[in-house]
Amino acid sequence: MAEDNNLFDAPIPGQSLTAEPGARPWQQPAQFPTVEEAFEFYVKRMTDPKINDSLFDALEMGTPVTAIAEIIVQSGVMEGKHTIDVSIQILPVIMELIAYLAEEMEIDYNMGMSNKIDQDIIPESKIALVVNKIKKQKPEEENEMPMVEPEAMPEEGEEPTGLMSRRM
Amino acid sequence: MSLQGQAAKSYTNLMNKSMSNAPDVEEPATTGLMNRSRPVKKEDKPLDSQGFLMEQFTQLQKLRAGLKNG
Repeated sequence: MAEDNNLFDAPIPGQSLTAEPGARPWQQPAQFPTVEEAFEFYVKRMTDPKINDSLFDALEMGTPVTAIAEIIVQSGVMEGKHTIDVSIQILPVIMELIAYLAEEMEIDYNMGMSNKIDQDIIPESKIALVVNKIKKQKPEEENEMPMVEPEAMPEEGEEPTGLMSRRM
Repeated sequence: MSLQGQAAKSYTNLMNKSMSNAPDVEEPATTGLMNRSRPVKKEDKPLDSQGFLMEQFTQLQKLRAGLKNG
């Protein structure tokens, strides 16, 4: 954790002012300004067999999909392909695309999620949410349902045993 | 400039969203000879960026599930 929060792994204050404004690619208007265009760009690149060898090598070495996706979109920002906002938006879809490609190539990959998401397990909170939704959808039907009252059961009390008590 | 683990967060968010979306229910077509009601096709809504991403995400999930299930 200490490595993640390294305060010295950052640009020197004022470093951005050492180059002419607008000289860096990310200071120019993005080449792919929309999410759709940016995603299309990545799909073309990642499905190209000439390019994606290094991607599969990284996956086989055990690099998490999250890290690979972050590096890919980050390099896209640095090359001026798209903005940082777009990169955060397309991150999960890029991850899903990498996972799909890895499975297609039968590579045992690491998704890089701390909490593994098992799609077969439905959390209880979601079940409760759905049940509430169904209840809200059909409130009238529930009201129309006849209430079934339990039959009156004869109480089996102790027989009165006093001298003046009446026998039933 | 670093994304600092944004991938895991955004992936979890999108996964939760995709699981909370109600699936489209296909209504059975009424095809009787004397049937006068004609099915009306649902018009496709223009997708915004979030809708586009969600569609791509679910499509990829389906493809992955297809690979897993053979």
